[in-house]
Amino acid sequence: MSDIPRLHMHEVVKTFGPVRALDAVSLEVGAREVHGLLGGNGAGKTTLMNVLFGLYKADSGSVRIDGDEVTINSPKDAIALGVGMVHQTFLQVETYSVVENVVLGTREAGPGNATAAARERIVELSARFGLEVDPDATIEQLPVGVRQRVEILKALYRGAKILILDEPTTNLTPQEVDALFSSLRTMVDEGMSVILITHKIRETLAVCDRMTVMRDGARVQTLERSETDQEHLAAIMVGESHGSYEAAEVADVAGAVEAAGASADERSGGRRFEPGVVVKGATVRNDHGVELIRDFDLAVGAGEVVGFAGVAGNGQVELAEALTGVRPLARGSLEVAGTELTRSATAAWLDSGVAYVPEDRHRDGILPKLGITENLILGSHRAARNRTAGLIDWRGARERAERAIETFSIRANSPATRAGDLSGGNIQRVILARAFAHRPRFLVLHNPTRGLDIGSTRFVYEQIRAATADGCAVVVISEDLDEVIAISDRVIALYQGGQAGEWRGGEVDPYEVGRRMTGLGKEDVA
Amino acid sequence: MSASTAVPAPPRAGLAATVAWTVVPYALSVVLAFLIGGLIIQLMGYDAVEALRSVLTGSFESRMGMVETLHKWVPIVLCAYAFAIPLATGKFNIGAEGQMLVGATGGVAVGITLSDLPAVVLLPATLIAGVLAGAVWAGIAAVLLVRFRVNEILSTVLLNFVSFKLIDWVATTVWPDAGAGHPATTPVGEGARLPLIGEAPPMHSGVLLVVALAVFVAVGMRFTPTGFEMRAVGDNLRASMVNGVRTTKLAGAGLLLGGAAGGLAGAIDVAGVHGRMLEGMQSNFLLLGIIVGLMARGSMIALPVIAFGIAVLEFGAGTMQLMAQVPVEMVLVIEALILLLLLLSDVVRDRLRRAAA
Repeated sequence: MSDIPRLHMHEVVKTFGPVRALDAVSLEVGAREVHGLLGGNGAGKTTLMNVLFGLYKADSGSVRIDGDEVTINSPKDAIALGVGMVHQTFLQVETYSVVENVVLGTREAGPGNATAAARERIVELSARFGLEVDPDATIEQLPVGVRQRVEILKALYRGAKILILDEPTTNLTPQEVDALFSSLRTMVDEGMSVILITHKIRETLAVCDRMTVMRDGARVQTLERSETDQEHLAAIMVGESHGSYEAAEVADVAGAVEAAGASADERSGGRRFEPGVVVKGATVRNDHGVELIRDFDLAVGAGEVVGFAGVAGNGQVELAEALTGVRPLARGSLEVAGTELTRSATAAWLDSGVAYVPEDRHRDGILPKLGITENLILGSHRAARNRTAGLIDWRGARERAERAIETFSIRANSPATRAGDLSGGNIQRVILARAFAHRPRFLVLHNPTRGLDIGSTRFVYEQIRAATADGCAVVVISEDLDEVIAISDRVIALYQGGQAGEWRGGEVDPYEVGRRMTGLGKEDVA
Repeated sequence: MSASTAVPAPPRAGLAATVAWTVVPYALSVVLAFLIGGLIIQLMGYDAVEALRSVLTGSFESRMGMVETLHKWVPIVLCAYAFAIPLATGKFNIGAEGQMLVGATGGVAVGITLSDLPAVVLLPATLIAGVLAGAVWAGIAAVLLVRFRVNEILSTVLLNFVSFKLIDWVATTVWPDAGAGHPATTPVGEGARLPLIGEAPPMHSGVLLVVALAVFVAVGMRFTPTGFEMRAVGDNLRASMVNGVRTTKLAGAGLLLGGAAGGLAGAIDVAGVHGRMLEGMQSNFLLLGIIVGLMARGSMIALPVIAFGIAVLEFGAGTMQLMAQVPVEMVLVIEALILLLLLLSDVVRDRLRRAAA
């Protein structure tokens, strides 16, 4: 590139205490370019962009926009310089309309007196970039995909010429991803620059012109789209030292599953399972007392993995909690291996072998101030195997904890290490270790690999395989469609608390699942 | 599991380091609080060295001092349990003084009406009546909480005021002692008095009872499933519930146990110290119990030890006023400073820990 780049970040350093989060990272992004910022969790992608958006102050290094050195101390400075950022979680006022949310905080208007001119401009922007949205709809009525468009419109309305998107496809259906990418192309065709933070190689290749790979807080390499492919990128992401075999696995979720012992194709659609878990006519209320799940029937065979695909907020939490006895059934019944559990206390469910790996690990999973030993014993602390003469056998519990630390490769100094001091991946390992200590007959996992690195993700899949080999019935509820398709014997689309479609493993068309989980039937296909 | 597994045993995470992280903040907080307190005393124009010396040594210079200190320690420890046990389940019992007074009422009711019974029967009956009365009093708050989700802070605080009226009525109408010159009941029967130990001034045997109880509570919190559930709920209520702990029931049980401890404090003071119930016997034990309960930070082993420290300060306050003319309230200032510095040390410690990690 001969001319001055749109953005040039030079040797940016950022430390958090002793951790060097960004180690002299440089980044160049041209105009008319979608630039992928690729890397695993903790690689420093989001940190780098937070520096650019003024959320973090860099320890050293410089930022140039269109050749001019700039100082960005706050998001306000960033916006003034034409930098816009769409975060993973949106900050929107639920009860305001789209227009009101877009103009909120700009000079023109507050809510209520959003001018006609502002509305016109938003309509014009959304038409120009293919960001389809009803400007007068209230935010709370809108699904995640549309809310994201609102967030992008906010940045465009503020005159962004550099748009940063942080993992934008996490909660989108395949159709929405396609629409988003075509909008991004339109933007760069008009002269904007887009930076896409992602850890999904396939997406990067689909939309980016160039990509920068980061690892452990450092830039590894910047590549043109034309000079790389899936395998190559994966190898760079994981690091050469890991060898090409592992690099190929990282390419996508399916790779991780293959490494765990079975591929989606091998998972024969016609396998027969002994009956394991039977749910009949289950009706479940959400936290507001609304019957979100109605007359839900489900049978999971012993050794079978049933995966629920869906966009967050379609009853996943309610389903997971109802299946594990945490949330009572308003009507209906559930039995595990012939034992009826519907009216029992949660403790009885645990005793019957129902194990739950919750979505929110910190809130629902661990006792942060207590040690790994205490965390592992929780739930089985009344079981005979953990007690001598009525009292808890801590010596035995500690020995079992030491073994679990070894078996589950938990990185901790000792069984006394406080669970809250562990990393996300290790917390998940503790929760899995606890689930397996219950000798599960029925294992329910909700977003089990979210936020985990590839090693921990693989480990989770291996554990699921091991459980099914022992005849455990498994339900995986996940917002990662690739994951659901890759590890399930059967895939069910979840839409507004109901089952919107069912496929056998190996016969799944992701686009079809995507249509069903957004409420479209077969006949709606164009 | 074979013994040949090559993985080395995980290091014992430095037991010494763990203890240091726990003890050092306490020591520093106490020292700093005394330095600041001493500075204030000096600025007020008193002799700080003499004042602090008398606060700290009063309890240990005479048998009388030690006995009085231990007699103060008993209600402080019990009121601290009344606060700390429900706190372990995430509930705030601010009703220890009400529970103590109602416990005392239960104690005198038995001790007066059945005064002719022999000590073997009457003394246990008196103490048990106090325990039950305290538990019932807290039980009102527990039922309101579990059944109707009434906030326990409000109900326990308000029940204190009801208890003031109750003992007022008992001490002036039911069993009034007209000659006492202060609202008080008539004395309980001889058989209801706790045996005294040693030469004059003697110590009442309730002290030993509470020592035994302290061991029992510490062991119970660590080794019984219910004790573990309390610690688990105190740490993360949601995770405990998801893993089968019946959290609401447990919170109710915690309040009942706390009330029982408060009730026992009242009954022991009746049977050991006053021999009757009198208005004002709750002193400021509610506040001291909360301070001790907070300082113990969930440790039922540390709690009685801290309570002893506070009892020493409380007794020393009188000595200080006598020797250095410093008002007794100064001790409360020092106690508050210790607590504040201790809470502050959490922040500092976490920062240091993170820096060290």
